Amino acid sequence: MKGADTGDVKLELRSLRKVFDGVEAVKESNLILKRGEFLSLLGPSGCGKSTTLAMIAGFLEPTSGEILIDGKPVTHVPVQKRRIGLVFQDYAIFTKMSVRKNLLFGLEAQKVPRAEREKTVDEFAEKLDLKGLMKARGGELNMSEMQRVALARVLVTKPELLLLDEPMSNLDAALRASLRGELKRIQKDLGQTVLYVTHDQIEAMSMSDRIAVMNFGENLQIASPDDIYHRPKNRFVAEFIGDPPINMISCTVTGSGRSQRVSTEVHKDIPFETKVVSPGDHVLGIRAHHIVAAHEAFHGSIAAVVKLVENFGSEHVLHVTYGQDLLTVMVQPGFAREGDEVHVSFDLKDAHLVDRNSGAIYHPDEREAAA
Amino acid sequence: MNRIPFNIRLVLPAQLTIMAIVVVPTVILLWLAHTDWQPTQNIPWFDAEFYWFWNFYDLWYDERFINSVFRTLFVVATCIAVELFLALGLALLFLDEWPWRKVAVSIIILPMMIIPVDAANAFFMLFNERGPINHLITVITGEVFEFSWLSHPTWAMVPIMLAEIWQWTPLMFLLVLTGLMNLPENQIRAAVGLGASPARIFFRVMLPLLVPVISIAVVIRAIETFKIFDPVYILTRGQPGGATETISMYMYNGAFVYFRMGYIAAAALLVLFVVVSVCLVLAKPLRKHG
Repeated sequence: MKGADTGDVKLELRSLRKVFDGVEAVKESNLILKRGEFLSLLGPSGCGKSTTLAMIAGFLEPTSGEILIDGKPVTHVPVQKRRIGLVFQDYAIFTKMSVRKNLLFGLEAQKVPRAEREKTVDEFAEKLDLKGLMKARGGELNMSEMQRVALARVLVTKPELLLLDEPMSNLDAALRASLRGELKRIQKDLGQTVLYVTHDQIEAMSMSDRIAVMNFGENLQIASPDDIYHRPKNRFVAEFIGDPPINMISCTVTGSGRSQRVSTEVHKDIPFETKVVSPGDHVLGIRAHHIVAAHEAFHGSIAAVVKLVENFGSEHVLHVTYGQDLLTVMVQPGFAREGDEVHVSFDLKDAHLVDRNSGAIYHPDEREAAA
Repeated sequence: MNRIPFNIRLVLPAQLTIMAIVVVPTVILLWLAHTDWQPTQNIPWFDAEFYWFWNFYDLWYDERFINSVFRTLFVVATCIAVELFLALGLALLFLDEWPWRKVAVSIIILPMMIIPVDAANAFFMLFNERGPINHLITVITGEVFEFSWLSHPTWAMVPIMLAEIWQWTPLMFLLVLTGLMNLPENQIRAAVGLGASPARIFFRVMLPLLVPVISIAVVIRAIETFKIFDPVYILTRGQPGGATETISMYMYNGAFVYFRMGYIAAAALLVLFVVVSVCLVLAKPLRKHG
């Protein structure tokens, strides 16, 4: 009897750890990747995401922990035998071979019969729109073509798992946007399981089914893009995702349990039950588009001076003073100019209360559980 | 003095030096090649009688010269093939980190540092009639082996080429190793990820990428080997009967043993022409990357 819970899991990392010269590059990483899922490892440079990827691919030996593909441990299986497709940051197209030879390479290496490999290559050349390029040499391709060739080259071998290591970080913004869509379309068409490493939040948000946010070798949160954005689990995740970055406002928590209250510049002693955050000075995280701005004073607002206007095209972002803090506020274009006085406020239910000491964020429905 | 522009004054010393050491001797060579001048005739070289193209005509029918040219080409081809094969194999061993790797590299490139005459002398002693090589063969076979390598018309080439290969494989090794270490790593990783065997990765991915480096190494070594002199001079001086004479040895004998300066100048011109042509052909793969 095949358990539904194991049949659905493509990749599993169990307490995967890597230590380089005493530095813990990856700390006790646990991760489950389901069949057909697109999961992104997102984090700043040096957060351990590429190290994790290199261990899954087999280029690095983990210090401890286990890697399972389809429920079978592969931790000590050599790279060649893992049946993992790799796409690199520079695409690593074989520059001295034609595109056709590039696509045939994996199938030839795996001793697939000639008729079958020609058929598979033609099929994927069709799917990835490479028909006209088959005779071109690897060294002659542009970036968009290189991405498609790199994808086709691994996809023809029908990999169990596709690993992509920052495949778009060498590209300019316009090309990136169009390749994102292309990559997502191909992944969906084939139902390919993908692990995608990136430091670009837009790539992670727009393509992923789930995102794992990493920092200092630690998996901070693994959740859907919506949850990552709206329900970050801690300060790092909240601050790493979102453009403009989330506002962090100082606040004071008084009382405990059901009588807990929060005070900020605009809010005085509003009930805000957390049970977890201890009384004292803490931080409120609130995104720019949750802050309400008006020209006239309104209930609960305070006056603020516009220090800077950032033009985002469809919106403007105002940088305004807010007590000792500087706030970003999303407004309609033309709402205010630098030096204007505006009135701002926000609803506490849109804010995330960040524990100043641990950096943890507790959401209303989790507060009971966490307590 | 101020009338000479500043930039001209900057390049003038270098230009004059080059004129003195390259252009002037070349012009003299061109002149001598068309005379029959011999120092023993007791007339200065510029007074020698103009001889038109008779030197070249004679060279064409000079079997000893033609043989030395083909012998040299054979030495170049053999030595470079062996050196390249050894260098590639060694360099592959040194691609991964292992303990004492750096020390091993230093040891491998040591022969290159030795003065060629000394290196040749070592091989002279090794291949002596009662030398270690014959002694070793005697020990292995159990029969007294006293083969005179250096006076055998065919076998004498073996110690000469071995000396050359032993001394210059290190250079080829260094060049190839540098090339290997600079190969795009991700192309190799991609090939590994696609399930390719080490042999497939080497022949299909690494070797094609190495072509420019190998071309440079081969051209450098071809030019050098073409001028092979030290081992020949030390081991055989071209003997027996000119059977081991390479071009340099032939010219040395012609110019400094038989004192036929004009004739050898013509030979030198021809050789220059051959070397340049061969190198242009060998360097062809490089031009695409220029």
